[in-house]
Amino acid sequence: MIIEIGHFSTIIALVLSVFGMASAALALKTRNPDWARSGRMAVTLIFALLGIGMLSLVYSFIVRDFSVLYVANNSNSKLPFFYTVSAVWGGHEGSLLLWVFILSVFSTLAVWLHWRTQPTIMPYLIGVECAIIFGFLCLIVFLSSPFERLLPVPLEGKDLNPLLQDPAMVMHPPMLYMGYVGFSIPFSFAMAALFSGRLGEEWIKVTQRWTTFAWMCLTTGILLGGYWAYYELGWGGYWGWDPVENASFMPWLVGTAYLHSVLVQEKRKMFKVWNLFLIIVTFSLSLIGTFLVRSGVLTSVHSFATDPERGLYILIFVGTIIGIAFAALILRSAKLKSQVELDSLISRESIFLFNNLFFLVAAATVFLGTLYPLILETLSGAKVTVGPPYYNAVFMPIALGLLFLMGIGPYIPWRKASVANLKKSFSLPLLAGAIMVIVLAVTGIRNLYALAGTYVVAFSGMAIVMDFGKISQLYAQRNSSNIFKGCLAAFTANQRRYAAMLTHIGVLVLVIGIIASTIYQTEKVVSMKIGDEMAIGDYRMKLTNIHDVEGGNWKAEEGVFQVFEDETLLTELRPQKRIYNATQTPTTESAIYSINMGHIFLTMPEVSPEGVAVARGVLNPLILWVWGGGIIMGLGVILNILRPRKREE
Amino acid sequence: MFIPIRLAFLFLFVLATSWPVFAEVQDETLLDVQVREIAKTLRCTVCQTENIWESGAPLAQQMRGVVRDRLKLGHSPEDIKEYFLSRYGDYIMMQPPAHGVNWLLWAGPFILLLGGGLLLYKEVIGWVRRTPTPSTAPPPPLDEQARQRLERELES
Repeated sequence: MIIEIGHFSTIIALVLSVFGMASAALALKTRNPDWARSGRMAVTLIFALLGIGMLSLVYSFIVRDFSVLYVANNSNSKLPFFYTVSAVWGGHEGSLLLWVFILSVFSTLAVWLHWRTQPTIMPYLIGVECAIIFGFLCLIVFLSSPFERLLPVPLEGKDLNPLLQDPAMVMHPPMLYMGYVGFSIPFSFAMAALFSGRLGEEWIKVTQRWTTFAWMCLTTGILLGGYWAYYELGWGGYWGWDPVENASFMPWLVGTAYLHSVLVQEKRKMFKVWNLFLIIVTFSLSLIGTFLVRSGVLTSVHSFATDPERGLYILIFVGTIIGIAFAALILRSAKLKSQVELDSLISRESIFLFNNLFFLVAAATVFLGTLYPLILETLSGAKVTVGPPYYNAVFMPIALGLLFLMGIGPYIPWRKASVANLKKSFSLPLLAGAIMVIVLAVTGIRNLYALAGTYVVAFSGMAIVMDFGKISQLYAQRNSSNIFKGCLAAFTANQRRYAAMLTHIGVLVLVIGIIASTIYQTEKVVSMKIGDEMAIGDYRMKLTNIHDVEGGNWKAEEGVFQVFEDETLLTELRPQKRIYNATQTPTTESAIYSINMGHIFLTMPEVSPEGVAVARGVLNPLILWVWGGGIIMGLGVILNILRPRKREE
Repeated sequence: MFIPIRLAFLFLFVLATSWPVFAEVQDETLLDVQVREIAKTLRCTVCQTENIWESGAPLAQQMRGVVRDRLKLGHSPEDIKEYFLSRYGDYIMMQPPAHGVNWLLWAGPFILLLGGGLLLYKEVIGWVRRTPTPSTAPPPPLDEQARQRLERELES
């Protein structure tokens, strides 16, 4: 009964989305604000109805109602409570419902938040948001409903995919979707600007915080996915260039380009077409990412569903939205011609353009690599694999270029930089980079990528620190306070800029973590009996016992390894080889010990009946910098969003 | 008299067995390392973009076994890759070999970067040329400059 209420609510929400589009159109035609108001009511009701839909599904999972097909497929009587809730988005149908639910939340927020200040934009915003909601609800209601009943009712559910029974996987999809969907707000405002012909800077200023928020969610979602892959998939890495990872990385890359490029339009009123183009591409890639993952067109670690009918529908839907958006952009482009005034090649405007070029080429590379096997197979029938070796080789130079630009961009003035200015800002950073490289080379590090990476990281880091230090000192002198108060004063006086610089520092920390943990990873796989030891780096691991353990819905063999550094016992690691009861799927549960900002990572992929265990030990130096860098990035973005409003905004 | 000696022996025995130095240290053999290096370049055909080293699938395990057996028979890593290539085609390699149409994949990003960079450079130079040079004031004295920089930082 409960699930039918949810089903029914969702159908009404679908009808209301049509009503929302119609009232938006009527509001524009009749100029009667009542129509806009009823559009707003439609959006709000859609949010409430989809909320009921979500709740009914959550309820069915909690009471383990296996008469609901989706619940029976993704749950089990022994599934822990925590995961019964997250199982709501553990499969194809539910995750689409989550997508459109988040969309309705954001739409409602946007409509109410900007209602007073943006009355002329409202009908367009309502119309565009309702159109996207309509497209997704059609998919849910007609092609992939999570509300279907199953007859006869099975006694037991099939269980949630064991790999998804994990805390990081509970948060990963909602974060990712909040990122994807968050970009729909600047996209809708951009569309409103195109349709209405109000092509000034206003839509960019209004949506700046939305964009930053969406970017933060997407970044967090991607990092959570990496963290999950790191300890759950058990090979010791966090990024495999898997097509599904790539699908979320592409909108991130273009979204990051957009995030930077809008600054030029805000300050200099240039590149209007370009910014519209970037936000359209960003949101299109969000949709394409959803399409790639949810249509089953890619077969990858995360793809759990294959269904050509749905795939075709999503393709047509996504194609329609992208087509309309680009058509609008092209039709308006004559009106968008802005006078480009550039005083010098060495100016912040021009650096931003090159930043955009690098980000777009990076996105194009990921796009090419992800779709190349599909295209080649379709055209010639040949099958190839485009795996990590390809991306590592091709991506590295692009990433180095971006990091270098990151050190330059913020410290080159708008319009024109003088030679004296360049010398003053960059001689010390260039020197810092050189010193770091020499130090590393002397200590015996010869890897070219490690050296080049260290150079740009030291360069960019020094540029950030120097600039902030100078400004802080000036503040300290002016207020005749100490340097710490000076730092604080400088930060709060221009919180938008320095919060962004904090995010840049987070990126640098992350990059150091990536360099160290990929290039200097040590790995060993050894067969061991009880009492044997393996040595890896400075550590020794002694297998003291193998015993059986049992969880609520799984059984496992657990190895007990004592970890020694010299003769000191550091810890005991207990990796498991688990078998989940319902599906009989094996998983390897890694055991991790953090030391010196790095990890000792241990898995036990196999245990023979004679009691010989295969142990895989990995030393990941500085891997905590990867996650720490992510946290610093997030902190910077939060401080950026929470900055006090200035009068001109 | 006997009891303390026995206790001493017992103590030594416990110490000896619990002391990690006395444990047998297992290490990767050269063969293990070779297997790992090769396995990382081969794709597990039943998995999705995973190499046979990282994959836990039974087939990957079998394939690792094949690699190990062939190494034991004295085959070189190249022979083994050739063997897998002849059986599965390019698909088995984790990266497409750089020949034929695959050049597009390998060179594409760099062509885009260089081509795009050149185009952008030309465009920017063009814009700069068309922009009238603004009348610049004479450079202010040094501490004045610092003050202005502060102001600029404040508004940017």
